[in-house]
Amino acid sequence: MPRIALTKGRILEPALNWLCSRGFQRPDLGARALLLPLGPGWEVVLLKGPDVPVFVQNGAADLGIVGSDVLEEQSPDVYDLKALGFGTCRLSLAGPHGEDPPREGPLRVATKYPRTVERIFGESGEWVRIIRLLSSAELAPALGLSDVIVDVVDTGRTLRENGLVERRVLRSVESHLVANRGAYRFLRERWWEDEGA
Amino acid sequence: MIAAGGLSAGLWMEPTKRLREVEGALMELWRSRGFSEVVPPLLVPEAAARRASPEALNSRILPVRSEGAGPLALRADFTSGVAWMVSRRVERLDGPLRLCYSGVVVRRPRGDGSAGLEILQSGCERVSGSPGPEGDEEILALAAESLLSFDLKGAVLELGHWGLVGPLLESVAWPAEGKEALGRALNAKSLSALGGLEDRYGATAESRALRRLLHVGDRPGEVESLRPDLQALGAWEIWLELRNQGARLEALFPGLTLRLDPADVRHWDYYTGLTFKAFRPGHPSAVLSGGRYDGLYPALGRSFGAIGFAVDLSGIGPAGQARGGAVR
Repeated sequence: MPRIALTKGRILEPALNWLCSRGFQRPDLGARALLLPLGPGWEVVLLKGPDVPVFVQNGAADLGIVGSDVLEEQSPDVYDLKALGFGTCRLSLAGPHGEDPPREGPLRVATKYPRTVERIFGESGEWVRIIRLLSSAELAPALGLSDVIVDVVDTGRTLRENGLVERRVLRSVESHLVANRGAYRFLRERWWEDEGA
Repeated sequence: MIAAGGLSAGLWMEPTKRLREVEGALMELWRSRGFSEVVPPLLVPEAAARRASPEALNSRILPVRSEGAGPLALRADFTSGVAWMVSRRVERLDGPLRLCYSGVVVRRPRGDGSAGLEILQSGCERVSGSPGPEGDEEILALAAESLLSFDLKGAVLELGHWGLVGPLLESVAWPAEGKEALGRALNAKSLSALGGLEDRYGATAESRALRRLLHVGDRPGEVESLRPDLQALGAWEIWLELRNQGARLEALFPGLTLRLDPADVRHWDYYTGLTFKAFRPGHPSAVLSGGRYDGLYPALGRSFGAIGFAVDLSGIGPAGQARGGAVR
């Protein structure tokens, strides 16, 4: 049965809405199962965002919906079929209020996106030291781990709660539909395409 | 079935038996068609491996620490090793050289730094005295025959050609990093990434033509609508020839499911002509992949042309027993 991998969290709801608009049935999320029928003839697997490209690239899911931030960070070997227009936010540089204190070394950047940060700062020629974190990057400046962070920002509330301000938008982020290269050949019905596209 | 790309845990008895059957059937077929087996080196000078590999494979070459031997790497593909051997042994070719091989290639996994990924491959190379499409039909037919030697239900063979996309990619007036990003966007069939690049570097006639080509990539019947673009590039004849090649192949192999992919940009910096790959349901990547690469031998000091393909043995099984135990 064809399978689509979805990201748990804030983009799950708009992703399900979009799938329902394409003729699928809303799965019962109350059961807390991670593998759910999506009908007709499809099922959905719920994952953390960074795992979605891994499942799709290796054929454990045929399609996936995942943020462009994750795609840029991982550069997975998948087809990037469509930008979906939801899950929009931004990848931003954020730091404490006010001027940075003088420093002699590189700017210390805490982030879940080390490759993306390396690429961005490599292009601009800024000297940075990247500190890779798996979560809670917003705590890093307050605890002296880093000078700034690079993270996804939606409303900015998490930043404000941790005494940080958004200094520079680095990337626009939105959800994308991706496909496994092998499975794509055998999905006859291209239900994700817009009429007349 | 051998887990896709997974030999690191070793192969136990039954999967090994199946692997050897598949490998043996392929090698027998190829030998019967005049191909001689060679064993390219497993350890190669790192710099030479990088020079002889497509850009996409370069990042997956796994260097090896060695004392006194200079920087080495494990072979990430066979073609470069075969070319290295040929260029050191053969100065002139009066007729085609037909070579085949089988073994393991090792690649750095995508998205991970260290451990290697072992992939079992068998393949063929046809080297001729000069560049050009001579031998394309022979190798394409052999690839189809190899595929049909196994009971791979639902498998499809896709044909493409560098000449449909390569000249557009090379002539777009963007800086090198923009062109590289464009190649990646097309390889991912990403219209949105292509749009982002047009915003950044400026849309050109070539980028717009690539956009149209990508859009019809899945619908070969609509390529007619791109006729003015392709004619302007001198690529319309290439498309017609590709279509004819497909028709001839279908006539030769009635059991074959064939598709044309006019937007195939895999390894566009490496291939120079016909490209082809095969997929089967349930396997996450191509089970067979190949094409013409006339740029490699000149880079090694020989004016030869070459075309070849490799089969990912993990993609053939468990239904991959040779049909009726015999290879035609």
